[in-house]
Amino acid sequence: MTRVGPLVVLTRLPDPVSDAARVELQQRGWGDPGSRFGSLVARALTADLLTQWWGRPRAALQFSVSAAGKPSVTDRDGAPGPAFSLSHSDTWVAVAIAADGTLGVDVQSFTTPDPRVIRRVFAQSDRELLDALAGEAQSHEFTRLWTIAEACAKADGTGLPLLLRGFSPIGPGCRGSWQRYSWWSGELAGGRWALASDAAGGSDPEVCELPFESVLARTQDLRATAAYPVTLEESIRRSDDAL
Amino acid sequence: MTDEIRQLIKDFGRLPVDVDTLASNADLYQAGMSSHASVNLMLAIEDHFDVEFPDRMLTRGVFESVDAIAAALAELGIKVPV
Repeated sequence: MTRVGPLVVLTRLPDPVSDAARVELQQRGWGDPGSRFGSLVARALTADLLTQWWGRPRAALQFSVSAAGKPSVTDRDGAPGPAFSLSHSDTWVAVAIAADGTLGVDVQSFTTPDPRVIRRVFAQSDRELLDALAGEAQSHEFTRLWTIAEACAKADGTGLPLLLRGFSPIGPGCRGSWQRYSWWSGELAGGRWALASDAAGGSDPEVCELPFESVLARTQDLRATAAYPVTLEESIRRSDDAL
Repeated sequence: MTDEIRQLIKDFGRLPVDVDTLASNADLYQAGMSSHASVNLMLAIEDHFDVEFPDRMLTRGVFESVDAIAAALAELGIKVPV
């Protein structure tokens, strides 16, 4: 598959999860998804997208997690696969894939900021952006800044220490750069997503929103591999992508 | 003092389930705690116990369960019976 920029796939989780979806997931060996629903959907969608993007069968995907918690994939011969990142909130799932470089994706529902988080995470110029706002506007701006910061921390692979030790300024807008990463940010119903990537050229991502029913259909055959979901569960369990 | 940790998780962990229904070694991320909520929780723990987590402890594993948080606090000199 030939792509220039990263691919970001988003899907909105049903709320509440329908009985039909629960039955379908249980039939696929997921048990009652409960509060892990978003996490399970993110992992299934990741495996599906990697299979299609890379042209390897699902059973050939070998996942591992770095000491810092950043997941990666190889095939059975050890050949490195595409860079990928996944995220989920209470409402949304996001998966990003790129042919080269490293990347991080984050999705988050709009949230009221805790002043301690603003103080510890954001640079002074970004804090001033937030301080100039109140109420819903502040919540939206905080969510924009947070998702960008988290996407950059995921791409960097350093996670919490980077977030909590002097994050340099992000600035306003829907596209920018932070250190060696390009970032993009977009609004969703009830939240925002952000992607950070250091791929050469900084090409804009292709952003695709799939209906949840379509995601379920795409992951239909995953149970066919005996390793699923154990391999993916165990390998990514500790991280959910570095954070 | 695990009660204090559980109360902080209730207040800042934004779990979709009641933390009192979880075992002390249950994985809070698996229970639905987001990374954003984990940062809120971490900062609330620092304030409540008047400690600062060093960089080496700023890992996902330190905040993944009541037991893990208690162990981290014990390492920082805060006695939390588990």
